[in-house]
Amino acid sequence: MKKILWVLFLSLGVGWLSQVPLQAGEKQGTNHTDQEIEAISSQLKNATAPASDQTKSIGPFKYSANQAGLQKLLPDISLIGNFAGAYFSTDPTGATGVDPAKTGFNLQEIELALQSVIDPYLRADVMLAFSEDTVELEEGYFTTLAFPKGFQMRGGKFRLPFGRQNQKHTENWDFADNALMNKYVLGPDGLKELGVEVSYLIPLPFFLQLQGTFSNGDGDASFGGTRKQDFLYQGRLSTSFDVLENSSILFGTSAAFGFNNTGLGNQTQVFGGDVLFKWKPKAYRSLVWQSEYLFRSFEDGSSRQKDGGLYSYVDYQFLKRWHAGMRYDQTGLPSYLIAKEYRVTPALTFNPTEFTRLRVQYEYDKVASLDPIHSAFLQLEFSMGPHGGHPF
Amino acid sequence: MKKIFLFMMFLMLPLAVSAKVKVVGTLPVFASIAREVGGERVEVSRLVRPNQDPHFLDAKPTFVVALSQADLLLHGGLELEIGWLPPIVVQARNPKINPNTPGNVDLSQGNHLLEISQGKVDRSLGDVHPMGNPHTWFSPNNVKVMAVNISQHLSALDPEGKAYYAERLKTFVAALNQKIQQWEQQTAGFKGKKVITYHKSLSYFTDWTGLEVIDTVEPKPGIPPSSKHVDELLSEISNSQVKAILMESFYPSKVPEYLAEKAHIPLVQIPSDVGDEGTKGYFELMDRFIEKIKGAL
Repeated sequence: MKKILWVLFLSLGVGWLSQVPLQAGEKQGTNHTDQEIEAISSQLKNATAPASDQTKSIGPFKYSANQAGLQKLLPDISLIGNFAGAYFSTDPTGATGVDPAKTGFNLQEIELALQSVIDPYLRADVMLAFSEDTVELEEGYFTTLAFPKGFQMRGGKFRLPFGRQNQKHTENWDFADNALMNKYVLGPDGLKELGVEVSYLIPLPFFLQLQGTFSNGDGDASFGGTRKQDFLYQGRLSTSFDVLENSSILFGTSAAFGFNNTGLGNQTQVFGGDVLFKWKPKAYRSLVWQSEYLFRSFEDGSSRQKDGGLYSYVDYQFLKRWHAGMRYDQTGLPSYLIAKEYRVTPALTFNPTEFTRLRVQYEYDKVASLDPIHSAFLQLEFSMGPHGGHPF
Repeated sequence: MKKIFLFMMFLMLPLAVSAKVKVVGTLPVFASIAREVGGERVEVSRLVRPNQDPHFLDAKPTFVVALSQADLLLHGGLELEIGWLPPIVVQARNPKINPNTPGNVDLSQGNHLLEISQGKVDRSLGDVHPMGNPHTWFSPNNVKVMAVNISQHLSALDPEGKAYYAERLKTFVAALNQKIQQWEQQTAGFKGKKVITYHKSLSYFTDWTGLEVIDTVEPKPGIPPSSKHVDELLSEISNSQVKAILMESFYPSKVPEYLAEKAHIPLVQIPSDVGDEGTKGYFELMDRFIEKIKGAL
């Protein structure tokens, strides 16, 4: 018994002894840590303080005397050029928008973008599209940054959120030209209107977004009513979730109601559904499958016309800089206006860097029972300056 | 109708109950530091998966959802995420995390930065980051600054937890300091040893440990190697006695493998971020990092 007590006593003593220097060391360590954290804290505070408050003024405007400071306030200026060499077995007729228009060299578009935050409440994006002999305001709109939670408003001229293809700029297309049905129903350059958009990100654990636009409705592929009350009303509901860690899926439906230019008060309705699947197993491997169906119904004098069609494509990134894509277009689902048409489009894309792109594309286009039209494009795209990414 | 309403309420339930500070880190490493400092008072998520290249990411709608509910966004700054983050911050329509608000935290602040461009730059230099190399977290001393930065922002957002964050920060920094000592002992022999890296992403690590990067597999940032550059690398490896090729696991391994085989030097594939190779936190990540490189030198 005594022995046990002794052992206990000894071990306690040894424990206490060994504890003492440790505690002292720890204490020193914490003091040191405190000081270090204090030093970093004040360093961080200094880093956020403005470097110099010297200002110059021109008239009513004050700006920092530091030249570099001024430059930081410039909007992001960027330019994207799109050129294509094209061959058509029969050259296309009518408006082609930014698509290659004839056998030979084509300037598809040069897009100049100015983008900046305006103040704590707004940002603005302006994109000018230059073709060979005209300049057009492709988009120019403000976006609110501090609306009550979940709401956002855009105003100005913008691509209407109808489906997926219509919202994308040429440089974000996975092919050198527009999808067939989009061209016929929403116009060769897409449906871009002057108006306002209110959108709401519904506060749920998954993505569910409602967008509504109210605009002039001047786009004359399906709209363009001439009376003063002929506005265009359009909406979109989209949802998206991750299927697995590596992939995500998006579904959207869109609708547009307006008036067309076939006669006073004639109405047009366009409906669309789209699905996008993205798979990205590795840093430089990805697969995109995107499909979209469009249906249009419009009054044309006494009768009502209907047409519909779809496109569906896959784009596979098989190496960091290489993509292979295949698109299928089909009109006449369920009915067509002039003739039933389908088109098959394989494409191969090479991005030497993030800022240039080379694309070869072939197209097999068959209208009714006419001879098929073969075409081939070699597209070159370059991008200079800090071009803000577009929404997905 | 009532049923639908109830269902919607049910879906919103998780939003209403949780009173924790919601933190979104773009990279797993930022999320992991936030977890260390924030403990139980925060709910942390990340956007980029550990096996992805933070420069090239497809913005997904689910990112927008995460950002729309965030109280604090932690990003690397120095234009690391410039290709995909700005548009989704706008789409998230969350005034709390807009640029230049207290909820938008640039973690490069106060960091010791390398490779800040002097004079005029253009992209003939490749995908350059003029404000400095953005892969700052590979220096543990920068991570210390990030932790302090995060704790300051958490304390401002959640003043009740100020003492809690200060305590956790102290514990983390003290542990990190011990780790730094250990790592500096482990890497004492790295000084002056010559290596080749894939991308300019390990500059902070090599600067800290004294490893000498004599070239990169990419001839210029973001540009894959040409066969000419591969030949140059081969002669450089034999001329300057390069010890190893280092690369993060998500880069294409074909060319580095070829180089390693031809030159008879080891290729070290290191985990690129917390979570890669099952690493559980910053300490484990760096432990694995150092262990693997040490084994090859």
